[in-house]
Amino acid sequence: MRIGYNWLREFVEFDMTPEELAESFTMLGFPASCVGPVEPEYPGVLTGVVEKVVKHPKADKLVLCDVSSAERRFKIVCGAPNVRDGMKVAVATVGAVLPGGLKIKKTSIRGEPSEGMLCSGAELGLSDDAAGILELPERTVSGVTLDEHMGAAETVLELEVSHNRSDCLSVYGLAREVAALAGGTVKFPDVPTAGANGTAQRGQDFEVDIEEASDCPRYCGQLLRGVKVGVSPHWLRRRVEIFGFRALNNVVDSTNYCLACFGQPIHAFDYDRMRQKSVLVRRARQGESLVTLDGTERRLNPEVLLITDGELPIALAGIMGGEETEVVESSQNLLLESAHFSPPVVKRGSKVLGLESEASLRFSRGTDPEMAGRCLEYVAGLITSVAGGNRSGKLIDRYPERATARKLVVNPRRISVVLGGAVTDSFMQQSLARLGFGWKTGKKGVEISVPSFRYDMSEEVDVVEEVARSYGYDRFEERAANLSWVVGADEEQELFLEECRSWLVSLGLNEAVTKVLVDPGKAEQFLEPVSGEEPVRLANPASLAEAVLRPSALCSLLEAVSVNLRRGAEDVRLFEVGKVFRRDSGAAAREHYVVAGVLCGRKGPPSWRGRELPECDVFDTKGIVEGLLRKLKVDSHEVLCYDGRVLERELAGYICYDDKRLGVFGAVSRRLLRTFEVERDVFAFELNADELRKASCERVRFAEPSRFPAAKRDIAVVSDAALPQSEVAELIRGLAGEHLQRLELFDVYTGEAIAEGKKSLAYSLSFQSTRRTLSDTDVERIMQRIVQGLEARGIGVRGSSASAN
Amino acid sequence: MRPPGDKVDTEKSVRELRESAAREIESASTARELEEARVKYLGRKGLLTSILRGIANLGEAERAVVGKAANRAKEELTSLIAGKRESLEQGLRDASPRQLDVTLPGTGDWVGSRHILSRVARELREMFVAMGFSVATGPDVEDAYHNFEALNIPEGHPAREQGDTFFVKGGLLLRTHTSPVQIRVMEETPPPIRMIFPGRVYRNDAPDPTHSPEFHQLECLYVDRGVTFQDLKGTLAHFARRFFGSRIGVRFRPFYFPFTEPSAEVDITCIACSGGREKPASGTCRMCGGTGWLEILGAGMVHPAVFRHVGYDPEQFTGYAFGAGIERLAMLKYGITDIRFFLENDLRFLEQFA
Ligand SMILES: [Zn+2]
Repeated sequence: MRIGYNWLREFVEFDMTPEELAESFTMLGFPASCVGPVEPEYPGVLTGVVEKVVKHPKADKLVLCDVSSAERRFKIVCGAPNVRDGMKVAVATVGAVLPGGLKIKKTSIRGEPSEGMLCSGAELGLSDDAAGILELPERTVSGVTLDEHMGAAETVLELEVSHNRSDCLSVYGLAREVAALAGGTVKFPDVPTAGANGTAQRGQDFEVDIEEASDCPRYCGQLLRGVKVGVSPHWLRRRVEIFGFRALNNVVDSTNYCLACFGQPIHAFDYDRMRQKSVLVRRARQGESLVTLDGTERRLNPEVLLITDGELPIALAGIMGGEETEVVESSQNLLLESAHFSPPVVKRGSKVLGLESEASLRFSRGTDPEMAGRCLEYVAGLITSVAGGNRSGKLIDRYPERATARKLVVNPRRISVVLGGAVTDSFMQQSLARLGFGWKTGKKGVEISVPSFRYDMSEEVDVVEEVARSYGYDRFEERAANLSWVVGADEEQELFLEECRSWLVSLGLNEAVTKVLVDPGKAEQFLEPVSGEEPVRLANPASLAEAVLRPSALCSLLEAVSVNLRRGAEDVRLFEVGKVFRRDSGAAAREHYVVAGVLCGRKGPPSWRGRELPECDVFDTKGIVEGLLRKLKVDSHEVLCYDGRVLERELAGYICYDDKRLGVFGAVSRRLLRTFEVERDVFAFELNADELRKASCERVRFAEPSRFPAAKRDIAVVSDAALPQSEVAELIRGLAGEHLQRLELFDVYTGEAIAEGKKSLAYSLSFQSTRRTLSDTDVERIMQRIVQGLEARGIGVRGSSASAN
Repeated sequence: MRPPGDKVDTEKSVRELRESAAREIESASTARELEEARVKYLGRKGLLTSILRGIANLGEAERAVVGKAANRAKEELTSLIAGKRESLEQGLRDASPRQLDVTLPGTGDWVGSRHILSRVARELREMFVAMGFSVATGPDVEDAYHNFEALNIPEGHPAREQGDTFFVKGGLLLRTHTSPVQIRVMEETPPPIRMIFPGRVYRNDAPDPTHSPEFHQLECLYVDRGVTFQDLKGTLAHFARRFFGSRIGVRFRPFYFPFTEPSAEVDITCIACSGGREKPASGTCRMCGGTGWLEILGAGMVHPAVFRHVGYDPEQFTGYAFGAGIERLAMLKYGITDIRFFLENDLRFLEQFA
C-alpha cells in the first residue's frame, strides 16, 4: 500500500523525516520503505520576486523584469499588464515544463534576452486567467519550488499491512498508529465546504430498509442534487493515484479518496437511473442476476447480499455496483452509500462469485461501523466542493443497534510474565489507552474494551502483542533460556544418516540433494509391476513433469547424471540421503529414508602416471555398499540375484539382511538410461536407510584380541565356473572351524591350465587361537580337513601352502 | 732413508708427515683425492702406519715419545678426513640437480563433497544441540489438521487460501512448513520441549531466483514454565551471531503469524553493505535494496490456541517458536544468487563446497 508523507501529516502531528517515519512503521509491524518524492507537478517552476521593471526599448507592450528567486537572478521579458515591482510570482526557469506541455527555453525577444517566463494562472492550469501573471500571496517564501509552495510536493511511502490489521488499510488508520507512538491524537479532517452550500430541504427523497440487521448493521445514505461530473482538481487526482487508483472523474475520485483516507468504501448510485427511489438491503434469491460495473453478468444465490431498489438488484453489497446505476458523465443526482456490512457475509459472497474489489477486501476483513456516518458527511462535502451540487434532504442513518465495545478479560501479571517482567501495569494501561483501548480493573482481572475498528483482538495474547509492540521489540533484553532436561527424539536417526553421508564423502562421492517431485512417466519405471505399488500422486501439480513423489532417489539422481553429462562432466559420482514415497494400491502413502548413489566414468581421478584408468563397474557399487555395511556394523548380509527392471538383471544384486531386502546395487538398465538420455554406463545403489538402521548393530561388544601368534596358509581350489564364490567361501569357513580368523579371496582365474567350465579361486587363511599358540600340526590338521571336505563336494584343490606373507 | 734408530729424526718426520698430510687433505677437491691422501698416510701401507709399526723397534724412552706423537697425528688426520668428507658431500648435494620433481601431482582418490544444504543443516543442528535442543523429524506427506488447524489456521483463514499447498490424491497434502512436526511432538510428549525440526517443505510457487516449490526449513520450539519473549530474543540473537559472525546486527520487528503472538520477523544487518555503512558504487545495495537489513526468519511466542490443540495448559506453559529457510540462510552466508542451484546438483556447484 502507498501513502503520502504530507498526506499523513494532515491527520496526525509528528516530528520525523520520511525515512524515520518508514523506520517507525517497520518497527510497529508495517514493513515500510520510502519510495521517494512524487514527480513534480511543475518541474522547474520556482517562487520569486519581481525586483525591477523597465520598459522594453523596442516594444511598447513588453517590459524587462529583474526577477530574484532566493540567490538566483533572472532577466525576463514579460508582456503581462499587471507586473510590478515587489510582486511575488511563479517563475518558470529554463528547462521547466508547464502543464500544457510548454517547454521553457532561453530566448531573445526583440533583441532582449529572456531567461524564463513569469506564469499566468492559465499557463499553470490553476485558473482561467490568461491575461495577467499569477500573483502569489505576499507571505510567499521566495526560492522554493512551486510544488512545495502549493503543498503539492509529496514523498511516497510504501508499506505492507498484514491481513489481520484491516484497520490500517487507510491513511487515517496508520495515523492512529503514529499518534499512539508519538503520544499525540489523530484528527478527523474538517468536512470540506464549497462556499454557500445550503442544503435544499426537499423532505425525504428515498427510503432505506434492511431485511436482516445482522447482514448490514449500519446503512447511511445521502442524496446529492445538481452535481456536475468532470475532471477532479489536481490534488485529488494526485492523491488517489498515489494510493494506487486510476483517476476517473470527480465523483469516483472522491469516493476512492474517502476509501484511501478512512478505509470506508463509499458507493455512488445514479439516482435518476434507479427505477424505484428506495434502498432495500437483502439476500439474493436463487436465479437472480446482476450486470456489474465491469460488464459481467453475475448469477446470484442467497449467499450474496444485495442492495436493491426495493425490487431489483442495483449492487452486490460491499463488493461491486451494478452497471445500470453507474455514475456517468451525464449523471446529476447521486445517492451516496456508506455502510457497514457483516465481514463473513461479504467474504462468502465475494468467494462464491469469485469477485474481489478494494471494497470487498475491506468489508470482508472488517470496517469500523462507527466511521460510516462521518465518512458519508465527509464525502458528501467533498463531492459538492469539487463537483458542485447540493445535499438534498438529511443524511439517512439506519443503525438500529449501536455496536458495543467488545470486552476482553486479561491478567496483567500473566502478560508481564510472558514479557519477562519488562512492563508494568501502568505502562500497559497507558500504551493500551493510546491505542484506543479501555482499561477497567475488576475482580477477575482487567477488563479491556476493544475499539470498534480492531477486528484482530480476541484474547489475552492479542493484548500481549499490543503491549510488546508499544514497548518496542528492540527494547527487550536478550536472555539465555534456563536449562531444563528435555527428552530426545530423532537424534539417533540424524546421527546415523550423518554417518552414512561422511562415509560416502570419504569414498570420493559428491553429495546431491535432488527434487522429490518428479515426472510420473519416469517414476513409473522405478516401481516393479509385481509389487502392486503405486507412486504418490499430487492432486494439483504445478506441472506435469513434477506431478508425483519419487518412489526412488535414483529417479532424480539419474536426472542429475544426465544434466551433468550434457554439461560436459566426464565422471559423475553422486550420492543422496533423502526420502522416497510409495503407496500400496489404495492404501496411504508410505515414506522412508534411502541412501542412494550413482557412478559414471573412471574408477579413479586421471593421473600423470599415464595408466589408462578402467571405468567403474558393478563391483565398485558393491564395494561401496559393503563398505557402508561394514562401517555401520551390519554384521551379516546376503547377496541375491536381481530380478527387477531398474537394473540389468545379469549385472545387479539384492542386498538382504534377515530375509529382508535392504537394497540393490548394479548396472542401471539400458531402458532407464534411454529414458534419461544417458549414453554411458551408470552403476547405482540404493539402500533403505530405515531398515539399514535397524540392522546396524547399536552397540558393539568388545572382544579382546588374541595374544597368541597367527598362522597363515594359502589355498587354491578349482570349482565349477557356475558355482558362486560365496558358497565355496562358506564351505571353507565351516570346515575350518573356530580358529579361522580371516578368509580372503585374492585371485579368481580361468584359462590356461584350468579345464573348460572350471575356475580357480585362491584364498588366504589366517588361524589364531585365543587360548594357545597353534602348532604346525594343528594347522596342518585343519588344512587337511578343509582339503578333504572340499574334495568331497567335488571341489579340487590345486595346492595349499604356508602363506608367503 | 735414515736408519730408524734416530730418535730426533723419527719425531721430526712424524711432525712433517702430519703437516704434509694435513695440506693434502685440505687441498683434496674430490672424494677420490681425499681417499688417495688417506691411503697414502693412513692406509695399510701408509707412511704414518709404517712409523707406527716401527715403534716396536725403538728404544724404550724413544718409543714412548714417538708413539705418543704418531698416535696423536693419526687421530688428528682421521678427524680432518672425516670433516673434509662431510664438506665435500655437502658441496655435492648443493651442486647436483634434484633427482625427484616433487611438484608432480600426488596420486590419490576422488575427493568427495557435502552438499551445501546438508552442511548448513548440520551446522545449525550442532549449534542448537549445543544449546540443549534435541531434534525431531516427521512425515513430508501430512494431513490438513497438523499442517493447518492445529496451528491456528482454520479453514477459510487467509494464510490457507494462498493456493500454495500441494495436495496428494486421497486427501493428504505436502507439508508447507515443518510446523506440523511441532504439533506431533507436543501431542506425544508433555513439556518441557526444546527441539529443532529440520526438513523439506513444499509450496506451489513458480520457480524464480528466490522461490522453489521444494525447499528446506529449520524450525525450533521451546515450551516450559516461564519461557519469555526475552528468551526468544536471546536465542535468536545468539544463533544469528554464531551463524553469520559476531559483528552482525540483529533486529526484531512486529509481524503477523497465525500460530504465534506476539510475532516477529528477525532481520540482520546487510552482509553486502554492512547494514548500509558501505554504500556500493552503484548507489543502492542490490542485496538489501538500500534498507541495510535482510530478513532471515519468522518467530514468536506460541499462540495459546496451538497449546489448546495439543492439550497443553496455556495458563501454565509458555513457549517460543521460530522457523527459517535453510536455503535462504545459505544464500545469505555464501552469496549464492539463485535458489534453483540447490536442487540442480551441477557438479560445478557441488564441488565448490567440498
Ligand atoms: Zn545492503
